[in-house]
Amino acid sequence: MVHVRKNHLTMTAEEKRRFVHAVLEIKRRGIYDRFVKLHIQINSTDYLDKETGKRLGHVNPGFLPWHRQYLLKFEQALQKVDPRVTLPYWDWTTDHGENSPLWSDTFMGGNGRPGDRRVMTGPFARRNGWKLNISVIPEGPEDPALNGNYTHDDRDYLVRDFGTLTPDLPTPQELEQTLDLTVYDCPPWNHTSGGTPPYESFRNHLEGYTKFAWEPRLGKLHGAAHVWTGGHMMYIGSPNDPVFFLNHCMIDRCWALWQARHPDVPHYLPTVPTQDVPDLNTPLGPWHTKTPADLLDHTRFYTYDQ
Amino acid sequence: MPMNRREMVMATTGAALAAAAAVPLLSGGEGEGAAEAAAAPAKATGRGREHTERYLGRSIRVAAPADGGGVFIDGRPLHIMKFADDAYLSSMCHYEMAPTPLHAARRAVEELRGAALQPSTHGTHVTHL
Repeated sequence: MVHVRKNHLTMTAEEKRRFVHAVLEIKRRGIYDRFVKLHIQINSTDYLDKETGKRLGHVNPGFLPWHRQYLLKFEQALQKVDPRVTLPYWDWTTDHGENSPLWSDTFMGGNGRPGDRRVMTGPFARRNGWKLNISVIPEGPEDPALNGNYTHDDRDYLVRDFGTLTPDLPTPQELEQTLDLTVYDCPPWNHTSGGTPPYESFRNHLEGYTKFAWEPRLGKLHGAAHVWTGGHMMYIGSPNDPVFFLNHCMIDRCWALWQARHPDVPHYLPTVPTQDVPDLNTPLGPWHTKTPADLLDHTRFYTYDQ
Repeated sequence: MPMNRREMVMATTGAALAAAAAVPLLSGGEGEGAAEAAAAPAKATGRGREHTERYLGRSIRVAAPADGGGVFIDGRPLHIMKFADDAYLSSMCHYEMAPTPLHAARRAVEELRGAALQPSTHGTHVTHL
């Protein structure tokens, strides 16, 4: 039987305590930081003029299946600590503001303090023991951008800056209009896909690098949650903030909602080998154990509460 | 009306940073005007010239392509990813495209809030500009 991923608002205090405990435990064991580093490595090679290989995780159709597998691996790591733990999601279409239980002292902790924006409350505050270890110093002769070892800054504490870069989180209408799109993705399979009518890129509108003509600005949905939270959520090492996983769990749920709304369209594109991007049958690195086709049906692994 | 990024930095950071921010050598880094202000020197760099400026008390250098390209903050390389001639992400601003490398550099300075980039063992960081 598969497990159920819940909106954090419907989790019991005990369920939330178990989740936080499991996160802290894999951090203590060094496993959490390996997930941060992996995200940086994949991300740092996800650009158009990279020298070799396909883009996998970002700004391409692989965004949704790659993060589905990444979250599965993360959730499995948590479940090795506590088998009852499942990933929560943050429904930012309605769960707005810094007074949400999301940011309580017993869950994600609060906003950064004025000035350096250091998070001071909750389990992920530096003074409560959450130390960032991902400032990867370039090493070896290879171009650091290609091996994930490139410059980052020297802060070892988590930073958040709610609502400064964008005052608003997404709205239900914004998500509905994107869920109504009927095509998964389209050439050129990048940050410009689906930017003009008929907007044939559910993926890019969900990822947030494009928008509808009537929307005020870029940075919608997935992007808006990163930008609104600010601080480390804006950086390439965004998984340093555990709320990263609640945002991406919501994104993963949106892919499932979209599939349910459009049962008769391809749930991933491209279906044939395509330069620079993974197709339906490309094993996704760095694991090379699953293809987008293997990851299409999330109910093989878990379900969502709604 | 929310404060823009620059105003927030001015309002909330320490006195030293705020004082530095008050006297940027290149003016026009505010709000919507920043795009136009930054475009000219960035285009100049695209034609092969180096661009340097001080921004919020930090030194920014956008190297000429002939010198290997790259963006440096206080002499340390910033990781830049190019998606198009008008679309760049940096390690410090990864979920909004910047229209030029110089924009990406300024956004990184804002995000650093006085922190330093880690040093690189690489003299020049290839950034595919």
